[in-house]
Amino acid sequence: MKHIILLFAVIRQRFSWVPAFAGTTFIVAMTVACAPREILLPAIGLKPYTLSDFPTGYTPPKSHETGQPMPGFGGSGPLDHTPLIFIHGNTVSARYWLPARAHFKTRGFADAGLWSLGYGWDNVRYFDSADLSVPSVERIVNSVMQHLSKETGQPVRQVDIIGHSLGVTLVRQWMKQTNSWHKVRSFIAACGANDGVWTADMYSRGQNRGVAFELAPGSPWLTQLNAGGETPGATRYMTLYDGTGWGDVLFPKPQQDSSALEGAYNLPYNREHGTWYDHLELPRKPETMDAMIAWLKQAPEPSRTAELPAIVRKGDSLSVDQPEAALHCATGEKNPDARNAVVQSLQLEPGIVTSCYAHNSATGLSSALARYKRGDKPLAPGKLTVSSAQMAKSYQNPIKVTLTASEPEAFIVYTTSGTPPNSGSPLYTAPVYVAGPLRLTAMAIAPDGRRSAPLILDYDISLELIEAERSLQRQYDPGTAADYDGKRKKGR
Amino acid sequence: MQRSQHPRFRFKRQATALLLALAGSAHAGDVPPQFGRYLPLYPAFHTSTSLGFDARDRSYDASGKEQDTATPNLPGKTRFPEQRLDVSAIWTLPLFEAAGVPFFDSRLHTVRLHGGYSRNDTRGALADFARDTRDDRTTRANSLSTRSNGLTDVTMEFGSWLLGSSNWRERSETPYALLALIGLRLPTGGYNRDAPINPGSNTLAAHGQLGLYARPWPGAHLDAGTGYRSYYKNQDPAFGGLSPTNQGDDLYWDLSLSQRVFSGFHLTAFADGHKGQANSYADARFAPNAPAAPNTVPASDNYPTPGVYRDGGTKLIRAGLSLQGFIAQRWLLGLHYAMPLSGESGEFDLPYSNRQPAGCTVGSTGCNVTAGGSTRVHGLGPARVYASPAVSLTLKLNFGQGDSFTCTGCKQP
Amino acid sequence: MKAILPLLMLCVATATQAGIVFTPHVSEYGILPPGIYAEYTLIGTEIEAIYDRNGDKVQLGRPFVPAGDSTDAVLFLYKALWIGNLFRDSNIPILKNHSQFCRAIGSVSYQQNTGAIANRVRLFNQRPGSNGLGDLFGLCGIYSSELRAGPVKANGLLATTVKFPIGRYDQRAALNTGTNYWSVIPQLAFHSELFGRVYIDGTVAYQLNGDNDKPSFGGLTPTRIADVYNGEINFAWKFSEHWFADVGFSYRKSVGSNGYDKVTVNFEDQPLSPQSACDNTNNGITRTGNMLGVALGPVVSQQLCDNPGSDQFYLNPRAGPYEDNGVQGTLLTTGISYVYRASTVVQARVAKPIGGRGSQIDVVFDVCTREDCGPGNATSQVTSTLFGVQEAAAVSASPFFELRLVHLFWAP
Repeated sequence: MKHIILLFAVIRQRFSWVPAFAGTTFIVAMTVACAPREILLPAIGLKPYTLSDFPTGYTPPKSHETGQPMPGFGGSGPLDHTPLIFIHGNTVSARYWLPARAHFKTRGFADAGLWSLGYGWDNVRYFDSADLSVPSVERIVNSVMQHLSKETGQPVRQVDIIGHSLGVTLVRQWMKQTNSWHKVRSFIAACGANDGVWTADMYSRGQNRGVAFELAPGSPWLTQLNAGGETPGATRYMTLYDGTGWGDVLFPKPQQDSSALEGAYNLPYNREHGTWYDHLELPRKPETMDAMIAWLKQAPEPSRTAELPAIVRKGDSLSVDQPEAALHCATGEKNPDARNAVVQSLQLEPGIVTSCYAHNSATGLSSALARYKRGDKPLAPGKLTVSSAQMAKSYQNPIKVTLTASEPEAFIVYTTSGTPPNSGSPLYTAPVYVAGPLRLTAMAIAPDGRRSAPLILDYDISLELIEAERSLQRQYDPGTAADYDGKRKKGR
Repeated sequence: MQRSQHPRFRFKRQATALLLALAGSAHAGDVPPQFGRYLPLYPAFHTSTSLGFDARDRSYDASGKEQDTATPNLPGKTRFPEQRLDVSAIWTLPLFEAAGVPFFDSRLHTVRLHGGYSRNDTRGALADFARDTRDDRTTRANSLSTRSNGLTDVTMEFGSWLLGSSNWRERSETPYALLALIGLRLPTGGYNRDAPINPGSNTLAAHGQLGLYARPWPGAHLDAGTGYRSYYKNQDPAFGGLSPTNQGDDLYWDLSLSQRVFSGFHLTAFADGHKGQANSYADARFAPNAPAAPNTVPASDNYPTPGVYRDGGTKLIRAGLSLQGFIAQRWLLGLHYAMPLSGESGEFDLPYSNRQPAGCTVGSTGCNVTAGGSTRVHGLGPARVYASPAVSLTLKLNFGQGDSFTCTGCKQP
Repeated sequence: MKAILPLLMLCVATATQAGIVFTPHVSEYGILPPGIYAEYTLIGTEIEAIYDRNGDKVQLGRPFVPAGDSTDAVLFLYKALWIGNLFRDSNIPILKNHSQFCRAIGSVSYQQNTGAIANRVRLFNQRPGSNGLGDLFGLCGIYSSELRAGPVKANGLLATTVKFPIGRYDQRAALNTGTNYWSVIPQLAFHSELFGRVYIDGTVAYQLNGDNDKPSFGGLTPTRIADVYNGEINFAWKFSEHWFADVGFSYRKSVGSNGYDKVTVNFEDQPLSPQSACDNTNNGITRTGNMLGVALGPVVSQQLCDNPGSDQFYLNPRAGPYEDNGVQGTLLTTGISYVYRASTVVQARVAKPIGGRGSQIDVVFDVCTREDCGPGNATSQVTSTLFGVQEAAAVSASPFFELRLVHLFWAP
């Protein structure tokens, strides 16, 4: 060792300029390269690398957030199982799932059945949020189903989904807001903040506050997400998480079971297996992936040819149009799930909203959720409308939106995903918490089935508004008009 | 779209303002008190830049008499012109929000960093003395400098609005507020030990301050503050020890009343000042106005008698006017003029000892030391109080809630 | 005289030295989430003791000035750290799967000798302190893959730091905020987590130093600066998501010796009388003893000091070359960290030297009866053992305190 050091010293003495020159060159080169790739590469005429490993004929949908085609991967070839879509977490992209894609292939999953697309900004400086990204998930699922239906010549009406971290609450919000439970055969929720995460804070500021508003423990957003049951619909649910409070730093004690869902197959993997996988490792380790695969394979493959079951209402009675199918119903705020009693027909109770979906265990197919109400009171004459007490505009901080129907006997459903509501959309039971920019669409449904015209309200919880309202001049001269044009800046 | 709101027009105005602020011809010593300085702003990041020039060609003597030189007791005139750029980074934040800290969790707090760059020069009589190498042997005043440029000290402050900020999320107007501030000045500024004037102080200092804000009538802002600053010992007082070794603690104050005169423009009358306790000087090594050594055979010379000497402290009161206008809602540009009204500089009598023969080693055999005359010395550095007016140009910028995070990869179609 | 000089040469070991780059903190080398981190560090120290070449602690200025004075230093650092992967989604092997990072470190500082020590420095027509901009450090590197073995998780990193000597540098100063020489520092480091609650960060680095052709303080900063290797390790315990405590150990040692080729340090006022030399030498504290006998040599001897009034004389140092025995330092650190929300870390830490060896050289002074003193007209020579000064040579034996704030811009 001594001789090596001595030799090194001699060489250095002879060529003393080399380390300084080489080191400086390295630092300068790296420093230049550290300029955000979105600036540097375009500046020299290069396009930043993007993961885009899709089969011929598939055009990835545009991200709702960025307006750019979503990056990601998907396969081609024969498809003999329900397609599996991976949904990544906050600030990362589909590349997160590349190791999972490789592993699932080794376990017999078809290339054509493994998909992941990147929603959000794919940029650590901009947090994604569930509400902002729900439209993107809607596009991802629909585009994959349409593409595979076309490629295979048979309709693909169900997918499996594995979500990670923000991807968990995002997928749950998407299923709820778009009434899409029937499209998801199995959902694996890995490391999701279903009961909040300690890093999120209701008092967060800055442009990344949206996700913090959503995922703060005890937040109104989570309360809404979990209202009506944590595992609705015919969807099978599995959760995979740490459980020790030490492996995944996002879920320390006493929030070590925040990821669990009531009614799901909950697998606190580290706790049960004595492992120490962290937040990013948990869904990507061979043994955890094998556990997920085993659970996925327990589900029968749905029929590719059978018709979807449908609920039939005759008067105050509900039934199903297929003899093998049955009803799963719940009343009030509760959404039905697989644990609800299975009935062939149901008599609606007076004054109570009843929510049902039909499921055919032979075909594995389900109907969308629908809500009904039995009308025993006379309805007010006139046009059925729904209104809001909160104007559609920008607000500085999250608000709660109160909805009222012109007919007291009517119930109200709404969406925050920008999609038109249907009777299976979230049931309005309490003011809607709006924590970010979204389109709230509400509709009143009378017991007799009449529906109001949708009430469309565009809200924004805007930093631009804060900046405009709290500009230096306005704080010194409160009478000055706010310089606010209603637009959001990029990345917020 | 109104012309003033057009982004291109706004950009031009902002660019013009920046150019003006950096033009270099403007001027001032201490940053003038600006209106709204004690107002609790909505949580955000602000910067404040001040560019100033002060000729520093007039000063007050110890008796408060204004002199047309910066060092009155030296024959000839001296001036210390300064160009100075001060930059402040100011955060307002609800630091303990949701942390369960009683009282403070509902208040706004502020963290401030101040620094800058200063160009100092010494011209005139004192510069001639510094440059004159012929007397170096006898005065021991060798290797002196006339210029000291560099970064100024870094000052860190933390403050809490005790009153007037608890409802910061909802309020649109603050009628009054009370800010309590503590700070620490780090002596990291450039400091040439052989120069009479320096950008840095070479002295750690701590201060506490109270600031009161009120909005007495629409369009008006009243700010008043007072503070106390304590200085640690300067281990290396500049220019041969003619700067204080121990600067006397300061009691300082500022007051301003501002009125909006027309849309977006505010006229401010302000006054500020300080009263510094006596400074002490340890072992001054020479004086530019040293008494003559006795004419003896063999020859004698003299030297400052070692010891600690004290001046009578310093004082300054100045007043001024500012015109500040919003060139955009988040950009405030201002022009300030400050005129000293009265003041007192630090002076002390420095006794000399005669030594015969000249240059002998004191204490050695044959080296005779006797008491000599004394001379009136003007303290330098913080002991100088100038009577010259100062002009400064300021620019305050209110960053947005997310300006630190410019999105570079988020192009919408 | 002899002894004379030594002493004055204290120095500031801490301030803007490359060593600050290698004092690991909690998760210093962990693969942190991508982003831009800002770090503000305030370091303060009062160096009252340094290590001599034998590894013994020496009170600063002793025995020539009374103990109690010190070298004070305040260092304010700004660090910007970027972590990300420039090559993600590309097909470039290794790089596409391993994040990179770059860091820039700038500083301003205050370094000042106090009291009698400052006065002694002035006897040599030198400035006792320095203030202003420090050197600039830039480093870039790449993380390894993360390894997992049961409850142990670990990753490594490879980095190179370059120290750009842009700091304020005054050849007449005993202390400087800049170093006036380049350094290139390849570094290997690792981060490990055990059971989710013990965090270990460690590094080894080799600091290649360039030469300094313009030494300061009369040539008592080395002209040929020895390379230095560093080893650091830090253990942190996580009490909760918000509180950590850590203990660290740091070791650095020069490879070979520092070289001094331009020694010029000398008394400003000459000629000197034996009396003044003796007084200056020991300040009346130690009139007798080995130090005088050994250091003064035959010309300015104990006898001379005891019989003042002899002829006056002149001194002039020989420029060199001289070699020291190298430097070495060992530190223990301990501190606590508080994590505010998920974006900000505040840390307070103290570092305590537990061993070291500073640079000293035996400088030969010609003793003459004429002003143009040199080897040609010297009546004799004396050898004086002088301390090397500043970061390459001096090793502090006093603790320093550190207050640090790290902020991750994008976190909520």
